[in-house]
Amino acid sequence: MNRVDHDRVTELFLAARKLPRSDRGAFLEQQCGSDDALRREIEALLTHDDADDGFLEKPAIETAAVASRSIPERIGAYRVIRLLGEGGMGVVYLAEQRHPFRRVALKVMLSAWASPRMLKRFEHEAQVLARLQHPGIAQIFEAAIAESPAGSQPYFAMEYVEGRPITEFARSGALSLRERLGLMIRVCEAVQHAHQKGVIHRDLKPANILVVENRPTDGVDVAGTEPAPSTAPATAGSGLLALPKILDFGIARITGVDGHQATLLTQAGELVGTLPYMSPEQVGGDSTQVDTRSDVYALGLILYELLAERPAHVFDRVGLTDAARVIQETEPAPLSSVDRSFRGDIENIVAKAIHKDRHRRYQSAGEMAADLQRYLDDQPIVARSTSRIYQLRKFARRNRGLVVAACIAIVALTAGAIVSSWQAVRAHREARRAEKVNEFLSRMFVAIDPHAHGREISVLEVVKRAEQDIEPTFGTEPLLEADIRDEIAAIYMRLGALAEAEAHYVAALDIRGRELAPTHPDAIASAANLGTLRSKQGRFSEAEPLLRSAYDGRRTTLGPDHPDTLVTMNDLATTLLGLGKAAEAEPLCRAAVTAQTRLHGEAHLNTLTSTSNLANILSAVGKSDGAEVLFQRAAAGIETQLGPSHPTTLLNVANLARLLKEQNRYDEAEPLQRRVVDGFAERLGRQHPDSVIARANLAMMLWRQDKLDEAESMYRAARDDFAAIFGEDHRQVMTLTTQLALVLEKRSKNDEAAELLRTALESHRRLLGDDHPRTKQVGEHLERVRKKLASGGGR
Amino acid sequence: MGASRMSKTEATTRWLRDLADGDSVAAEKLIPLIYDDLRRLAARYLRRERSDHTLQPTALVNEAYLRLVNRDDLSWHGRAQFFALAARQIRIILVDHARKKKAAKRGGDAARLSLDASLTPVTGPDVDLIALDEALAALADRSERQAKVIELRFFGGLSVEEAAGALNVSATTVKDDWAVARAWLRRRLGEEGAT
Repeated sequence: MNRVDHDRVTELFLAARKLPRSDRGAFLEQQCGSDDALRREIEALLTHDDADDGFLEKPAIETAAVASRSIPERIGAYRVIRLLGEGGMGVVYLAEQRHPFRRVALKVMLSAWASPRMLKRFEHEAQVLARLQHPGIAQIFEAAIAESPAGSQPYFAMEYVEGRPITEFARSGALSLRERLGLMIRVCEAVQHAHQKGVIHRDLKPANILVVENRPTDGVDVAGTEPAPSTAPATAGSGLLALPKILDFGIARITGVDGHQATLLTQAGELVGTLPYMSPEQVGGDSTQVDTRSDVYALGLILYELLAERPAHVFDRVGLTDAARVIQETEPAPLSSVDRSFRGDIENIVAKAIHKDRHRRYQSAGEMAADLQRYLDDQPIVARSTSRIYQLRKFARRNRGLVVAACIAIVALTAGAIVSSWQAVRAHREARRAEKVNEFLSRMFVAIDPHAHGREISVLEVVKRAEQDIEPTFGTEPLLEADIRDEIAAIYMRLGALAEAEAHYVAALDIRGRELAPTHPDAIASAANLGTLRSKQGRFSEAEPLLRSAYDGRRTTLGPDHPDTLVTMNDLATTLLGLGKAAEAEPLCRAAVTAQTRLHGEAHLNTLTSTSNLANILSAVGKSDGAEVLFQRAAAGIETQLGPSHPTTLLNVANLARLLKEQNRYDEAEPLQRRVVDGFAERLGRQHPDSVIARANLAMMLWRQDKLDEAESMYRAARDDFAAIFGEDHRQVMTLTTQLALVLEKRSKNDEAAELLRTALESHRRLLGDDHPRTKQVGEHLERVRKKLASGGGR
Repeated sequence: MGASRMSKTEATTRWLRDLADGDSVAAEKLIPLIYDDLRRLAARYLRRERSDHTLQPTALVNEAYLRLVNRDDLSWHGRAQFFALAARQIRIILVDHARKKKAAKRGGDAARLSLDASLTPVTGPDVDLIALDEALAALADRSERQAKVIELRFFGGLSVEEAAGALNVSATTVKDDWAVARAWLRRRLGEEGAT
């Protein structure tokens, strides 16, 4: 057998091809020695190696498929010159027309598509398409049906565009950012023209947007039929006019075939799956959801690709279902991750265009063009007001210096709340109002450029500044005003700024009470919101009627098992607990937990929150064992859901700590409580009410363990902070004042203790009345300290 | 029909799992199960009437896979085995198709001959599948794996990574094999054309 050793051939061939050509001879000489046959074999392979001929690169089925088709000589009045490309729906030929003499691209649908229904629609819609005349749209000259032995073959005669796909054109010409955006503006304007004529493309993709480097001269008669577009044509580096032309406008609609049913025909000869450019509503399969904004989405993806030089979504051999899920759920990598210079406006424009929710996109291609133009003109863009969560995060990032980590959490939470609550709002109210409110909210976060102000700005300031715009913006539309006040109050609530939230909740309730029926969901929501606020303020007696009416209202209008109903049920229960009506609170809260467990499952945050509150109630009625179990369960569940340092997690740790404290298990409670204090300080800031309460509770634990030094300083700070937040006339303040006094007494600082007790006694009298046991108790404390002072115990 | 499809899917999936576990008899059981479907799919591809359930026009094996196999029950390795098997079947189908066409041409389908040339730029070089099939057999004689790589990629339409998975080798190995085999076949087919 004189055959050379193929393994050896392989090995040397692979080694040799990695070397520069000039070194290969020496290498082979050295390796092959006198084995001429081996050397010849390798050399032969090397000469057959780098031929860039596409050999075997297209799978066999492709070649076989094309080879098994023949080309007709004529179609209708056109002489077929050659095949340009093909796709799932049919083929595209280059063809020639006699009168007028011109070259056209002839798209012939497979007869398989030509159902009677489709043929009928074809004839009707073809007339519409013929009216589309714009320099940025490949003109459709004719749409007709040719009879052939194979049956009826619908076809289009379109302007033949000799150009390259827009992305390829930009890449190969190394176009600048401005040039790319200029091109895109022209594309958007062309799309806008078609939309105004009532034609949606439905299959926009780079392969369908060809850029011609100079004006077509092939007898194509499109000039002069339309006023010149507002932007000058982009010029490529060479100085040639770069004119984008959109192919296939309206074809998808005519054929009734949306992208996922067909790979469309492209003149570029590509067989491109359409899916990567399809909008969520298109893959959703409900054709009634597809409108001009689906084209806007595709334009956004094309812009993305034009800038990133890679598609936003790549579906390489992904199943349809998986791809659809990606389209509906996954955000493409932010443009700024491709190139940091896209951060900001450009990224926002793209993000707005490709928003999953079509209501949040540019509402027209024209709007998108205008925003791009604004960017080019250095004017503020509209898109800054859309991707709100992103904006808020960005805001927090800019303000990292002052706005501590807490703000990021709060901002993210708040943004989440707005989004979800607005989804709910949309469900039962016209979109326009939601839009307007959304816009306002977004603007308020976006209007701030810290650089412009020369200093850092806190979230709180942002919201306060925005307040001033409410009246001028919404003065004539009270319901809108109520909406925006509601949202602003929600932000304040998140920030712990209860007093600021109050005014807005009150105003919103007032407006809605006036403008809406009492059973209107918004009116009920306002009562619930204000009720929750009052409960948080400790004004339980005011909270109770509000929450009761909200609870009844929601039971009636939403049903007893609606998530919102159950939340209000929980809020009412905690309020009742605050009022000392624990016996009434317990069954109510238990029912809420049961229903929520059924509805959401045990691990859902709503369920866990109610569980935690039920534990509170149980501990209040002395069922400590049950309470401890529930606290542990809630704390563990919430920690799993939100992480160990989330404020809500910490709140539950705090609850557990308090329970231990109530059982005089101070040594167990103290480390838990310290974790809470540190966590709150970090996440919420030291001045947040929850933070202050946590410190006050820790102070109590320290006091009980006779760690008086630390207890005193902690009480002082907590008392002062509390008074600053709620005013001196607050129950908590008077309680803390009393407790501080008792610590001082224990440290024999009787002068100050007596003074504080006097203040506390006044507060108790005012808030609880002379006969209240606590008032009497404080009175007794004061007597005792006075006696100590009289006997010389003061200092 | 629904029921028989279910059972077919189950059977295919089960045999694939056995195959992945190293049961070589499983391949014998599998081929008849998938052959008909592959042929039907291939024919549809050839007629350009795909329903586009897959996103790549070339992903015939993928489409077959989606139809024939219960994906949840199968590991990546099972999928690779299926692809390898399918690629082989597609090779058989296409070469068979080419033989029939050649026979028809001899019968005198003159119009078609001239048209094929004009199609070339659209799809890349036209490959004589029958000659390639023979050359591939000769290559398999020298390196089974290199021939397999060509089969998986050219007939099966698999990516480098998928082929690597099917052969249980690294992507680099597939790329190397691809380079050697491609040069080898190009030379072999070129020589035949010259003689």
